[in-house]
Amino acid sequence: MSGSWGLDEWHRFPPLFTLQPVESIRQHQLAVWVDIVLAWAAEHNQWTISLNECAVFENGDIGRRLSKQGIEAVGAALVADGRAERTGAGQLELFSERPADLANRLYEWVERSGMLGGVYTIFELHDDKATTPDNPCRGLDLGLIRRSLDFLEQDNRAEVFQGTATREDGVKFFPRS
Amino acid sequence: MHRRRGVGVAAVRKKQETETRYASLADKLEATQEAHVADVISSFRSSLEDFARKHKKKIRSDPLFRSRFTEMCYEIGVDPLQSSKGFWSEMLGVGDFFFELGIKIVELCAATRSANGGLMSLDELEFHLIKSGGAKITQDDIKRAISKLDVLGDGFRVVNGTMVLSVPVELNRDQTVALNLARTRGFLTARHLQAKLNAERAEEVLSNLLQAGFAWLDAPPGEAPAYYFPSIWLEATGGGESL
Repeated sequence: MSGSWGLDEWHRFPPLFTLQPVESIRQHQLAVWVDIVLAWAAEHNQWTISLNECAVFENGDIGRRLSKQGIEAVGAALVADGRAERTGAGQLELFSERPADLANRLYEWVERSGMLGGVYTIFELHDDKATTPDNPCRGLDLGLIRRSLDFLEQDNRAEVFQGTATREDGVKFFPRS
Repeated sequence: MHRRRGVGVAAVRKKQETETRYASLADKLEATQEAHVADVISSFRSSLEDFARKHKKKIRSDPLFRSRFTEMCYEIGVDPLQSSKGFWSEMLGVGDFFFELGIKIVELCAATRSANGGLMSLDELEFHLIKSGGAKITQDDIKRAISKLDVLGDGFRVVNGTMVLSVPVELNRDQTVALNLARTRGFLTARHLQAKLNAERAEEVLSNLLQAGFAWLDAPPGEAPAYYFPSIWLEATGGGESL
């Protein structure tokens, strides 16, 4: 039976675990790894990873593990792609979507829902059970929400207030200038 | 007077007349036969056209039927895939069928090129075409469609009977040997290849295939490097089970 390339197929393709020497192939390889890491994070709901310990870089079934150099390249690709940020030595925070993309969807929703001028906590946005099923932040990782609010703040569309913990950070949304 | 018997004017005339008559008879006969042959061909063509019109749907949907039909067309000197104008493509859509298939093949090859360097197995191509199109498509159809793609001058062709090459690269003899050898497992090592080529040529061809983007390197610590061909490998491992 014929197959097609899904992430599972790639993850049991032995050369995926060797950083490819040919530039064009390496680009493809790193793009595949970015997808694999994000899919793994979503599956395990684990958005903070330690690069050198993360299980995704190993496939015991085929006896392969990505080299340190390879892992570093994948981390760099994730960051370059806007899908992760470095939070410490060898630590990455992964984003299920690009903070900038989420920021735009969030702001549109805020406009639609008449929330401009209001003050909300990050946890409220994340845990919004009552009012709005189309809240794009609902259930998302708090760090990612915070990152998208930073983006809006830089764009003068919001102001973030520091709380004692990320979940208590607050935000006020402004109309577009 | 000595009278010579022999060839008189009258006799010559008579002979000439006979010959002329024969000749004109032959002409007539030939004309009749020609007309007859032309008749037969035109009636054959028109019944072929009727046939095609009647079975248009089946030609498009049934691969075996389509294959038989196109072979029949070739036998009487009609190439239903050749022209974009005229009865064969307009009425029949056979040309369209292969044209559309060709476009899908080009798209698929382009979409996978960064992973396979432009070398895709017919099996994988067939799998994607069936998945995307829904219509029944055979490798025979794919090969026919590819044979029409050469007008693109883009190097589309079938190599080793099982793979499609979509980049304008000439494979040399050693590369062909290597690809053939990779067919069963989807990968190669220098040691495999040395059954066919000497060590130096084996190394060289593997490095060429790598540089061309056809092969991926598998170099786990402490093991001899292996060279994987993604498209062939996926087929060789069954796309689901591991080795």
